[in-house]
Amino acid sequence: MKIKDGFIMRDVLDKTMVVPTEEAGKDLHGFIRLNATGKFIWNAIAEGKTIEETAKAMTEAYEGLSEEQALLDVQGFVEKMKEAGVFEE
Amino acid sequence: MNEAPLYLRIADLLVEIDGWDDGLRAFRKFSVDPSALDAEPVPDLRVKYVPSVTEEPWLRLHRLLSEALIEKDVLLFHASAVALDGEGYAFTAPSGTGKSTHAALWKLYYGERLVFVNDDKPFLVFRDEEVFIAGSPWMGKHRRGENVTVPLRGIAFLNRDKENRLTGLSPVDGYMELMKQVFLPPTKEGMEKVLALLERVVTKVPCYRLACTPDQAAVEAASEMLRREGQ
Repeated sequence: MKIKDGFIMRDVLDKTMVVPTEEAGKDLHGFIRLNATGKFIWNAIAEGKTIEETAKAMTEAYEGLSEEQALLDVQGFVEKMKEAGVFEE
Repeated sequence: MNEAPLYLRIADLLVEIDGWDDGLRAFRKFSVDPSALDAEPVPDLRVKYVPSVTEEPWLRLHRLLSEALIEKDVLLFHASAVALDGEGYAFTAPSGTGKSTHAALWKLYYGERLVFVNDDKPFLVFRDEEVFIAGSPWMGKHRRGENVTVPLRGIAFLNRDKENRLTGLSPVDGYMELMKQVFLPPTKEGMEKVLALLERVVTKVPCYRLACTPDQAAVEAASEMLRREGQ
């Protein structure tokens, strides 16, 4: 799983956003807002972690998060990002 | 073919345009007489105009200039901007919503105290910790604008409604709206620069939503911007 070229993830004030650039070949009005979990997963994928490795890292970072739930969260996020054309295999 | 470069003053910058051989009246409030310059002028920015078959020249030059200006912390903004007693206010909305109409109503209401900075695409100018709004030769179909740069005191995002109401917009919401109304460069580096500039706008300039009717009462509602310090 990787992030397609041309997307910028950026903190804006107290929020985090994903912004496409023309290099991404996308409609320029398609910004995506990320919460803290989304940002965590994004950074993990950007570092080259697999979905499973990302879920594992999440259980270490977030107390009380089971491995099953973490995996579901990561898979869900990755699916959304693939549908949006931001992530690809 | 006219080989001499054209000099324009935009905001606080001396801009040299090379390769433009079609003198235009539209430049007149912005062009600098070469005799007023040094023998070897040192422009703040040089833009090389190269024609293309796909793009109309006047628009192409605007785009090349807008892209180049980002390096100087100057950003194109799709808005109708006015200056009231030297203080700038900008109205923005999707095309056709009525921002020109609204600005024209301000002129009717405030008369001599009000000038148009630029009715279509002014420039946001970032200097020290302040945000300014500046005129440009590209003034839109009504040709309203001046070569002035004033501090920007408020941005109102317009929508048509049956009633007039001005409400404050949070900086993040203002940011999201502004992103749809500024020049977005094609490169990642350019984009990062613009996003950083936008953050400066919303931390310095109060943003509002203005639901408005196309008449004078709208100006009264909008003028509340003059009295507010922000949200």
